[in-house]
Amino acid sequence: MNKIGGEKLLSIWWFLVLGIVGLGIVGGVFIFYSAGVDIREIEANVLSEEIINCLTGQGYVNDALFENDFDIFKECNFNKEIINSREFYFEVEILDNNGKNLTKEIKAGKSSFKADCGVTSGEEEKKIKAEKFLKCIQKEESVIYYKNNEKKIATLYILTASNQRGKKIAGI
Amino acid sequence: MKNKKAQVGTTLTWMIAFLVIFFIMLLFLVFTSALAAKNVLLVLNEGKNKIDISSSMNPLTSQRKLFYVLNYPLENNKTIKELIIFSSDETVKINIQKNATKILQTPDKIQNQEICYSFFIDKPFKKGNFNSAEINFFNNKKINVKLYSKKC
Repeated sequence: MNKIGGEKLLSIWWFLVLGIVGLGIVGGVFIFYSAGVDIREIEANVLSEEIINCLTGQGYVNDALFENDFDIFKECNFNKEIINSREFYFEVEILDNNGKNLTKEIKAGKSSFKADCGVTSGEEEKKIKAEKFLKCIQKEESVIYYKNNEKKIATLYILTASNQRGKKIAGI
Repeated sequence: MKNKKAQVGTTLTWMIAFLVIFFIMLLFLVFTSALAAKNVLLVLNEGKNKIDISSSMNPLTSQRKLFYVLNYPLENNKTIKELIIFSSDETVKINIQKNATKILQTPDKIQNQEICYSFFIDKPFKKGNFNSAEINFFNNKKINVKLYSKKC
């Protein structure tokens, strides 16, 4: 009788230990994986780097860019569906020394993002801080291009934006 | 009575074991919180942790700029690359330095912020926060060309 009572007393501690270990593991995993990550700026930056790398090589502009049937999705291996259906935007311009655009219009994604980028980027004193707004990356790089077998200098303007909020890692 | 005493001893052992395990689990939770992304408790319901982009440029950007400098059309339609390869006298370094300074006067921009460059030929350098691209040319002599760039 006493022996059975002793076992009952012991089993309480057994269950407490099991409970603590179980709760500890569940709690640890929950804390670790419930963290959210904001990659909008990184994504916009990666997109602009990808565009620059596929449109230029060794400082020269890709000749295909000046052709009428130039398709940036094909050239840069982008998925048109993903860019157009999700929260992305990009715009590319190549301006010569006189400010004349040397290519046809190259842009894709949500067109309203361009105006939105003007709100959060630009001059330091004019821009508005908006934590939950889209993130934009604007780049200007000098490039070399051939015109009538002569090397010329142009400026490559790239604007990329991402508003992919994403989800928490654990999807909680 | 004898049996009961024995069981009390085992139970006491488990009580101590419970405290030890409880302490270990507490440590586990503390370390998990420390390793998890910051502001973890605040982001359980809303908010996201921001990943910062380093203020320095990435090496690919520096490499692109170096190629641009090397292929830039100079007078007589030559390039710095050709100067390095085909010139054998020491004046080539001065010539390159002079032209590179002129070429890099038009800065690139990221988020309307200008990019600073540091260009070296055969010189020791301090790396600092700069990202670099470098090329060694071999003809009858070796020339080290290094270009460093970062946001100003």
